[in-house]
Amino acid sequence: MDVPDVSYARSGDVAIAYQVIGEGGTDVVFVRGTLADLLAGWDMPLFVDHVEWLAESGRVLLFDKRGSGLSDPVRQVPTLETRMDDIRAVMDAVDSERAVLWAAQEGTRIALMFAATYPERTSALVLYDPTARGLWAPDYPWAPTEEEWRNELREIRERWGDRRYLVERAHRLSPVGAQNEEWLEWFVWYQRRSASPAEAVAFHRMAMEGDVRDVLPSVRAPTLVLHRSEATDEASFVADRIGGARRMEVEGLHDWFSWADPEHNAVLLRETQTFIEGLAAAPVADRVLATIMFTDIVGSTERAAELGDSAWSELLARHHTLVRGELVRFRGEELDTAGDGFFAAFDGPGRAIECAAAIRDAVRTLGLEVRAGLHTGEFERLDGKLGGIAVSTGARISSLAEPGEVLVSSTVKDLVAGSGIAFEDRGAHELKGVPGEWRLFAVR
Amino acid sequence: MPDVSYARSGDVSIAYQVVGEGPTDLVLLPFLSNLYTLWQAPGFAQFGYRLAEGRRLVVVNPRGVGLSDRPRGFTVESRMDDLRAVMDTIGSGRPALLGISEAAATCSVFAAANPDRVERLVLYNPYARSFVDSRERDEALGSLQRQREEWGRREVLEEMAIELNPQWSDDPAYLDWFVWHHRLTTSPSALVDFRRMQIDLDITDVLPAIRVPTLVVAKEREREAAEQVATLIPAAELVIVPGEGLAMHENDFALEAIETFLAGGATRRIPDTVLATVLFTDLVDSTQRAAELGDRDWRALLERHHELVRVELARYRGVEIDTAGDGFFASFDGPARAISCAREIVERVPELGLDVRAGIHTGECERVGEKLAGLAVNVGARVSGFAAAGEVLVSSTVKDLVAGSGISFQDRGAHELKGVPGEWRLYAVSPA
Repeated sequence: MDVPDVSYARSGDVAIAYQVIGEGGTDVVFVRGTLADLLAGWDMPLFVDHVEWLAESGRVLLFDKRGSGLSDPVRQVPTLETRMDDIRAVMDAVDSERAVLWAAQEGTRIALMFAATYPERTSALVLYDPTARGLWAPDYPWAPTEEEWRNELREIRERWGDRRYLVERAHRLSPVGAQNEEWLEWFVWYQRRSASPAEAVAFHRMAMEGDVRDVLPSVRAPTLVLHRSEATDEASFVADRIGGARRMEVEGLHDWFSWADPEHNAVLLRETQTFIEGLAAAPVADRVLATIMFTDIVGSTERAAELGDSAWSELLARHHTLVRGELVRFRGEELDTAGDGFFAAFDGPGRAIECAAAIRDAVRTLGLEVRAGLHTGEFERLDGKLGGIAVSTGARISSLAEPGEVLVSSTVKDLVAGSGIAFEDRGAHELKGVPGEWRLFAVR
Repeated sequence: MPDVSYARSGDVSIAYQVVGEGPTDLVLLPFLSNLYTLWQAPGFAQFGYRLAEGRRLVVVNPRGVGLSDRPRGFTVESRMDDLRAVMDTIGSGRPALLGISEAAATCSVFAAANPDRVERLVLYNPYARSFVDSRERDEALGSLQRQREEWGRREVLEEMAIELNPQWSDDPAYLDWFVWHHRLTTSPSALVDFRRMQIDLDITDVLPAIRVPTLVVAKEREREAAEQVATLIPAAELVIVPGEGLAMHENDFALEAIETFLAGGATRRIPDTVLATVLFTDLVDSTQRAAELGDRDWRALLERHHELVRVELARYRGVEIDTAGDGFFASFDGPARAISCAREIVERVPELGLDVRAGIHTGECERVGEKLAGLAVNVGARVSGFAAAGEVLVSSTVKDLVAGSGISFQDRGAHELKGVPGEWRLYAVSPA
């Protein structure tokens, strides 16, 4: 097969290189598990077989994650939110309204985030060795500890690109593939071409920081989880938290790159194909993952009394104009104004935080101080409005914020890992009318 | 395919290859390149292995493209650092350098600044600057957005491939290689950053400072630019080779010219002139302040000033050459570092209640022991005399060499510098 040509989609300011393989039928976005470059895959017949098999279901969209391969380099470690946008940019570029996301390892987190945020654009998820979190936690003991990660990152910084290191890595990840000299040679160059040493460090740091545990219950797309026996616990964690997800261990498969072991990969591909064929025309989801923001003017009653009605309503009008300006800038959707506060929704938590901080700074020019509360959760969408308990959660959080503070739930904090946004722990709180205990964080 | 290793240039990883063995080294800096696909160019591997016969051929992939790290921005100075980092890593004390097209500029500046590290210099299809006329330059800058949108498209790259090497326009293997090679070398945003440097880079003033035996090789179609370069470099040889395209491996003529030149007699004369960037700083109204404070307090203040300046010099690899009363004279191996250093100094000295002015020039200096002398030093001192309090003023040479660094300047017009012939255009560094 000829190497499919490359095009570039724009995700914000960043060019994302992608290829389209096949046509018609179902669109399948292949979100690869590690660093990659679009050309190198086509030098490896086993990989080509895998992609061609996927293409039997329809069009396969392959892309290089930002900061790797043929896509633009990035200056800072991108958040999951930004990377999820890359999928959307590629789908938009080829007019794909809905797609099955076929994702592996680290790529499954981007796919999960996408599926929860854009249910109307996700027809299904197929996840190979999914991972919800990069770092060890008491309820997530399968991930490497911080010390293990530190060692790994140091090794990557010092040795990435070095032949011996890459050969060791190949043996670790791909016991079957690495048996073959040609495969090994391919792997060495493939890794070098995918990322330079600094880019490899950035990528793995991102892999360490990612955490989508809180997003799993919001995934509504039909989901098939396929995994190796050694990944059973982690795969079960993910599958158990997604409503109706089907999980299957592929016996005998031990390669991180499933396609490097064609014999066992055939099982995985057959399952994928049956699953895709069996997808009924799914109903359009009415539940979405969103980040909501509540803002509120501090001491508004006193200020109103001081100023008198007409001066106050004039000030309020200027406040509303400023807030709406920032909402437009950060792609926020205004849902309600309750008196002197705003209720808005965002498709990503990082943008919501930036917007809240921008609003706080902007209204200070009017001599006003606001508090803001943010929460990411699952909402019901009814006639363009959002409802559900997550709305109350957001409102309660904002009422606990100090003047000038942007207070967020731990869900928001976990999802913006890598953004460089720093938080101060504000401890555990009970939120009136909302079950459980909530750990809140103030944006620094 | 020669294997790749990585050298550290600061915290940036630089990919390089070592091919062949022998008593001498030749370091090749290709034009925009990816070391992996470079060797897949039809005909290149054969050419490369011939170039490596009887010597070590070292191919360097400077930062920003290909297999090396890709921090944002391109400057000649950072590319020189990358070259030095590879030479140091493999213990290459004094290799011959071969720079192609834009990379010839990097090799030229490196050779002028480090004559003791360069045995011989070969420049292939070099040019001193991209544009003479400011209208053409503005057009080139104006087309960058379009280039960013079009970069990577097959038809655009194929057109470029044919324009550069029309002799291979019917060869699908060449066209396909060219397309993928360029996609793998730079992404759209990196290309635009690179072009920005290329458009503004001007080494006209540096070429006369090269004291290393130099060969300029060019294809007929690049004759004009190559002649200009060869004329500016003292005693450079110029060889125009036949061929329709730009590729060095189109035929054997370029290789033969290079081999003949490299086989030339040994040149052990270590030159006593060197290209350096000189920085002069001077306290504003120091006499008045000294009178106000009295001797003892003034001396104490001066000491703190000296300490602060020395910290910044160390940070930017500046070498202190002299303190003339209350000012400093220092040299740097790169103009962007000198500017950053001067900026820090003029910003930090006011913390002591003092104001400082700074002047920077890059030019050929004579080495007298550890000191530098010559006209270029006088130019630097004069430039600083024109700076206002808190200002960093530079000559146009400095400005031309930091193209791509993102440093911006305000034109301060043409000046006559006392005791220095000619008219000098000076620029103030805009605040960071």
